[in-house]
Amino acid sequence: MTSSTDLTERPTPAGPAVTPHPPVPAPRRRSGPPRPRAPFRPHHLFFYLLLGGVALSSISAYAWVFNVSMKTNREFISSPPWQIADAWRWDNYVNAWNQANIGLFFGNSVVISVASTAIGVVLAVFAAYPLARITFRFSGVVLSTFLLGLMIPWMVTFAPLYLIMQDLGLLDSRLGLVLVYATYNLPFNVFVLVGFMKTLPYDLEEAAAMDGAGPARTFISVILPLMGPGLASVAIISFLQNWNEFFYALLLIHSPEKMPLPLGLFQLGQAADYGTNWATLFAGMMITVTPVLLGFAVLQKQITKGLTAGALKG
Amino acid sequence: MKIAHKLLAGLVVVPCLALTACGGGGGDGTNQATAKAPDAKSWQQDIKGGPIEVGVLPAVGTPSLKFMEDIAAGIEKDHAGADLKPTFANTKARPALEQRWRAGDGLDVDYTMFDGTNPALLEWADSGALLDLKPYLDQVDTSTGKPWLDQFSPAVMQFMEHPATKKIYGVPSELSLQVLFYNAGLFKKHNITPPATWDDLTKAADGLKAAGVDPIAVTGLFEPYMGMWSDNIWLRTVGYDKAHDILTEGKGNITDDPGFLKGLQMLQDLRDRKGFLKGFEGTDFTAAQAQFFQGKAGMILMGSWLVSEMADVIPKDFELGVLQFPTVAGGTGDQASMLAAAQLMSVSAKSENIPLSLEWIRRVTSVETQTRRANEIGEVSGVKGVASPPGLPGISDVVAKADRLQASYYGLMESKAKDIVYPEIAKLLFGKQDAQQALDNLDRGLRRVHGN
Amino acid sequence: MLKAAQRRIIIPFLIPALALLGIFFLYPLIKTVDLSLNEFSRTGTMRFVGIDQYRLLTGDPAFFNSLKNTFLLTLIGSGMLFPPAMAIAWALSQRIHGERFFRFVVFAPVVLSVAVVSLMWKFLYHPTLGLINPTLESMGLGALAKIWLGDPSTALAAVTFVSVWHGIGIWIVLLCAGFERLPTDVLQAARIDGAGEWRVFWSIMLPMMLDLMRMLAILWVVQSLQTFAFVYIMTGGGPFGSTDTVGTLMYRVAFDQADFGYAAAIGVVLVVVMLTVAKLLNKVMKRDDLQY
Repeated sequence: MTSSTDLTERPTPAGPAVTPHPPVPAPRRRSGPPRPRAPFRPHHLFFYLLLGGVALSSISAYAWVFNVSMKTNREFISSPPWQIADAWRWDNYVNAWNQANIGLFFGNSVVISVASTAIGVVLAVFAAYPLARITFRFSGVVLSTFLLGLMIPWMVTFAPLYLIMQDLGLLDSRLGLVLVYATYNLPFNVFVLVGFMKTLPYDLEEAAAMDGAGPARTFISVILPLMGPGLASVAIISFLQNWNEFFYALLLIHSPEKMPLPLGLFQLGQAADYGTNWATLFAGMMITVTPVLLGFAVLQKQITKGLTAGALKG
Repeated sequence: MKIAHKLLAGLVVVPCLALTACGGGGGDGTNQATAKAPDAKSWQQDIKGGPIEVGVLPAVGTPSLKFMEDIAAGIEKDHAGADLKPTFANTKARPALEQRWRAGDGLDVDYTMFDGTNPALLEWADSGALLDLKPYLDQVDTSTGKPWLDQFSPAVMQFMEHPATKKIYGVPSELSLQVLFYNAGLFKKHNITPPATWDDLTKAADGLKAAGVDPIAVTGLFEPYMGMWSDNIWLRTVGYDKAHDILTEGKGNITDDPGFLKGLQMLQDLRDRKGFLKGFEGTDFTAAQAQFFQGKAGMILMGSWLVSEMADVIPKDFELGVLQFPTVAGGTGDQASMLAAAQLMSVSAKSENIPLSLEWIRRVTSVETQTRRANEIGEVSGVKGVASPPGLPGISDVVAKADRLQASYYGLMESKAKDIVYPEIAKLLFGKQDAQQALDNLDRGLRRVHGN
Repeated sequence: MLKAAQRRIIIPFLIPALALLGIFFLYPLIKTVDLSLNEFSRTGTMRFVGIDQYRLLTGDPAFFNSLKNTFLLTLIGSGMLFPPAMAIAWALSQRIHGERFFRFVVFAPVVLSVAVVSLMWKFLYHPTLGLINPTLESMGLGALAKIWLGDPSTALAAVTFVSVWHGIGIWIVLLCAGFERLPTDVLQAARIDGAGEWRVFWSIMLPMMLDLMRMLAILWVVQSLQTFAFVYIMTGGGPFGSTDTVGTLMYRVAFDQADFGYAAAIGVVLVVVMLTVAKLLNKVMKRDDLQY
């Protein structure tokens, strides 16, 4: 249940991994092998305290959610927030899995989030390039148009958006949701990527042109490989946004077989609000959050690698 | 390069214009009524299979939803090809569902589309989006020998009926009554009389206080629930019609009737007696209700849904009592009426399968179903001859005593005046202003939003 | 010659993104401006009223209150967000021990849904059953205990804190990417010259990241001016409007009152305000483009 006929046109993401060697020497950035762990220095104490505090708060948050997911509803209400659950109640998880239709919705969520993130990031990186590196008359206007997208609160545009989706026949379709998500990722992605591209040395293109590379090739083989950190950041952020987005999903998808995960969680949330069914909500949270966290933990290595890869080339 | 720029501009603008052209006018798609409404005499014979989407209020995983799904399964069994899809239609799903209605794509059966007592909720019916149920309700039901309409309690007619056209646009699947819950065990233990009058209430509050229990649980994080207090007091000191006209409709001013100030003073008095839960200002409604059921507070003013909502967490030995909101001696308002809301199911005039939709609302509101819902789920019914839910001891007396049901919140929830009234009540309860200041602020705010 | 060649790719590179933007964003935006000139009924029929909605807006204290709160939230939030985010990103760029672990946990709250985070903090903030007040009292700091969400003087800050706590991971990722991209040789040179780490941070890293900081500041302003979800779930705008933001006000107007014209007018004004603030911020923080 992870593929969809709606999505056959999905482009493959272009990334640093598939690019050929740059025809120019890498810019003057970090060189040499990765640095070893820094020896302890006094200001590190400040870092450890700060990070320790943040780590503690986020671990406690997860501990709390997990603990509640093991309680009964009555226990949740009547015991202090941090009292340990008195038994392992995995049946909360079974209930959550069945009630929120997690198996089905999870597949939908993966397809929708991955496709929309890919489209949003790829289109944004292409659009950002001319905006950041080529001066043309209306570049300011085009950039502002993109940035306007950051500033429109969704509550006002949803009614016209619904009508246009209806006219295009994209209502209640995963493709429609993917296109909407991708569009709403674009402004942020363009904004961030333009910022990143602007900080790249300006002699890159000139050097590539000297070597006889055309502008498109220069972009693919010189600029893209240096975009590692920027691309990684916007991809993660877009993905998370698309993964957690709730309102448009509720608005645009009506058939249960096409719904993404937040709609399942939403129903659990309502059951908690109007039926004191908290334990199931928290179990559902754990189920939906764990794969994302694991994914992040695994990808983190790739991302960190991606962050340094650009610099190690050449 | 100029050509390129023009092209570029064109590429942005042209699709927009094209879309504007074809997208316009979609908003009034609900205006045409369909001509396929089945004949009132024979609709039950006309029921055919097919898919319909019916709005339901309970969320997934609740016994309440399971109950509704069983009714749907029953219909599917009796009518070959019938496929009833329950869609969650409660508060937070409303924006999306209403947008579907606006686009002419509403559910076959939905909630919150109509309320005869609330002018803001007559518009769907007026626009022709809803099916007039009167012809069907007037038909004699073969099983009872009486018109279908007769089965509904007369007290709920005002909600079902359009005040101007007298057509009927909804039938109630349940009622929510605003009642005063009290911890009967605690009251007995400390020898406190359940309050019938306001004086009893203040005495009970003092008694509970003396016994070391916070008298009244209330949330400070949801203003309309604090507003239940002023709503009910004004019902007694001002009366429904007058309060509704002034607060919601802007007919007259809040200074016209001394009952408003009197009500605010009573509320201030209760506040000054430390009648409300310690720290209620930062307590959300879940926690406030939980504290009541843990015996940390003696009373709570809440909708009758409280028991079915909290069913899972009420301690087994908890003794619940249910009372009508106390009467006010010398109050010039309605001493016997009660604030309530009917959860009305309306049928879309554009439904592809009206007979099946009618069958759904008929089954949900049948005496048999309603009786089972009262017993198993604890819902209060708007159907005659249905016993009160056993989970709400005393509710029968309370309902019997009520001479009239009046609309909860005076219809303020759909009005701009909501943002005036309830924040000022909250300020009063929080001790940020006294009754007179509250009245002045209310007066100023109401005059502004109503332009009078 | 390079310029001319580059110009050829402008249009093909921009078209796909602009097409999506045009259909799913610009068109609804144009319609929104159109909506703001109309009066709506609940059923969606509209009547042209010109600038009446805007005229109403200028006399609406609820709107100005929400605008004030939104700005306050933006301001308080930037104070809560940027110093720690900067410090953490700096720390993570130092290849300290447990870097990967810390990166992970710092980011972890971002993945939790807003609903659950709000619910959790509502319980933590609870005046008597929560975590914060009982802890303060047990430490003998009972005087610091507040009715966090129920007190108009603390509620906005309390809600803002939760939203910062939830989202800080994203900002740290962006800042980390900025730190990663600093030219190592310049930093090394400074260190070899005997500059302390603090000095390196202030005199070299910060100025070099100014562009990024400006970008993030604008992003924060734009994002927090739209704040909705945390406020809506945690306080609903209360107590008595002290946490009401433009976002929550618009939601009520649009969905409770079904007044899309007025909501659209609020939205249009909000957009204008945002553009102005972003422009100002850009100007204030503008430095000569650093090229390295």
